[in-house]
Amino acid sequence: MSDTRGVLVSGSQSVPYVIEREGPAATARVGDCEVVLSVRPVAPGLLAATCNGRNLQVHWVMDGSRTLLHVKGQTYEFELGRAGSREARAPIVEGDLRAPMPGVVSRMLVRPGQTVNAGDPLCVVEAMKMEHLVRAVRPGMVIRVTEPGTQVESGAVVVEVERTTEDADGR
Amino acid sequence: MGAVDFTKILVANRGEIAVRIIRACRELGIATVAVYSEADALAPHMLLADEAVLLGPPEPAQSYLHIGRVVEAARRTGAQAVHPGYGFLSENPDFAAACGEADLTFIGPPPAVIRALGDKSRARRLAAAVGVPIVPGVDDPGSAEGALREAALRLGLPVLLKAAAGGGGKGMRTVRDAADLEIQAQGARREAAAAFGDDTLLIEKLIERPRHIEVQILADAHGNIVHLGERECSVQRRHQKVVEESPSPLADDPFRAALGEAAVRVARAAGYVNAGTVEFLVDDRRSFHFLEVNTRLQVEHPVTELVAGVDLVQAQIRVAAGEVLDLRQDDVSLRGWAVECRVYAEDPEAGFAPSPGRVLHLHEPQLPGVRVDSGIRAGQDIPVHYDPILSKVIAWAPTRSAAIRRMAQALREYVILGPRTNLLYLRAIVEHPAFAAGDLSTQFLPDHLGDWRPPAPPPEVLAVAATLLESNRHAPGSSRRRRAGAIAASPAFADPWDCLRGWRPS
Repeated sequence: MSDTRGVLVSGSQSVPYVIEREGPAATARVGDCEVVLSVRPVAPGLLAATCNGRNLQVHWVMDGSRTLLHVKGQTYEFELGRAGSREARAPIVEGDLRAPMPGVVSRMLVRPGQTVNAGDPLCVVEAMKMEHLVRAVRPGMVIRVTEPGTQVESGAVVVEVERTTEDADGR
Repeated sequence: MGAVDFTKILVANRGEIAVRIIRACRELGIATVAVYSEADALAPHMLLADEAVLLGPPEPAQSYLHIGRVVEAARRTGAQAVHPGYGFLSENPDFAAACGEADLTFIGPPPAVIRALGDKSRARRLAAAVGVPIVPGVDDPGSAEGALREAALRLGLPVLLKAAAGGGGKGMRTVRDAADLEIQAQGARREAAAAFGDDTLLIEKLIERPRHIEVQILADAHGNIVHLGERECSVQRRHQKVVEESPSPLADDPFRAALGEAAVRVARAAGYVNAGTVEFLVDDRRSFHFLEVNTRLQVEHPVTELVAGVDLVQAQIRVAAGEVLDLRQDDVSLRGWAVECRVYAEDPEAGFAPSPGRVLHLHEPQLPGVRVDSGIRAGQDIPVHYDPILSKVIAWAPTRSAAIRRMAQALREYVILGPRTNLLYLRAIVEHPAFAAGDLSTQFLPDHLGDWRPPAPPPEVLAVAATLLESNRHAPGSSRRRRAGAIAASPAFADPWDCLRGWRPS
């Protein structure tokens, strides 16, 4: 018998859990709910779970720190939360423009030193043959840009924009 | 019908449509040659064909769009004919002509027909000349400053900017505000140039909330033309079709007959040969307006195949081999209802951003009356360079409501882990009451599912996820790298919790 606890992270949501194992079954408390479950592997990537007496077919795979699940027609992604892990990530500098998806920076519409207004088109990221326009979220000065032709991952900073002083409220 | 005149066909495409064509060839006893780019080494289409020829680097211009390399691959392998599929070179008259010059049969219309109909302005004039109504518009307003604005204002806003050489939603923009005209036109021109090598635009008056209904035609080289009924493809996102069906819930017999007759009239006037699609927009008074002709196989051709009982790819091959159509218009009858959903590698939670990556786990639905045309396999890396379509799910049933229920079930059982997909979004569409009511327009998605979000995970999913993550937390090899392996041991004897470790795909 063992008792483990942790935090489950899915996108921006975190849910604390406690699992108590009792032989082949376990009781999991997730958020405010309690689930009595047993889980048996059926085939690679396929589990037969019983949750509070109901059968669930679970397709799953681990990919690095992520666990991907498919249950009852819906796909989910989870990670284990670590204490302070969300704060430990590189802070998103407000105003930096990130690639909306993996792709190629096909055109850069601004130069370093240029002043931009909120809503101005900054660059074009292309993936799977569609163009996506990245716009400034607020006014500022462009300090760094990505070379056109660069392949970028989702969330990579493609344009760095610095707040201009007259606009830097609270600084 | 007997054996076809070809013994080997090169399939100049990738993904699900290449797989579909290879299978049709195999049924006809014809050997196949696949072509592939470096990004598609070990892709299903290249594995399935009898031979495969590497075209070059992933960029379409260096591979699937490279006419010289595709023609050379056909010559080197001794193929007699080339099937272009859809997209890529399928509507490129230069490619069709290059095939002809290399003594290869291009499976599609003659180059001159592709050229004439591929120019949307010419196609509009052709339709108008045979009395088929067209959407009011201005052909090629020119790139001179102000010309576009003048044309748009003359038609009256809102307008639709389209690539004259285009198709598939690329280079297409709706403009409601004159201030947006220039920037939208620039974007449309760029997309058009990138996709079609031609940045000429066409402006049409926007028909608000139209239905998109199209007619499948089939013509042989001996003057026989039939239509195989209509498909409704109104459910679109950013001009990309998402869900299609045949027949259309709007069409009754007189409407179908009038639409089909108009389509055949356009096809006959164009000297059309092979399979093609005549697209119409239908306004709220059920008046139809000619839009364009797609001189190729459509993505959504399976819904017609299922209700009309015709294998369109095989028919294309037979017609290209010079056979006479064995079908008269009176022989065509539509049976039951078919619905198709396009499965895209895109993330509906992130503004439908493309989601390439490795397919880590795959399970396709297997249900009576359900067909899956797929171009992916487990372990495959979905490249960023091409269309995000992964596969299509097609459900047939005697009635529309039964076909929709079947589709919902199939979507529910379809598992793709790795790239994010629109599977759940597709199910939200087909399960929506407005879809069930057949109350469709090209604004269906923004009208009904504009703020759709997937439901939050229920407690049992959280419980299973927590259990799995805990079981793998200290498992050996639980590094950030994916690890090969299967379930650890026989579940009957081992600690059941240990068995949950380590299913990581290679």
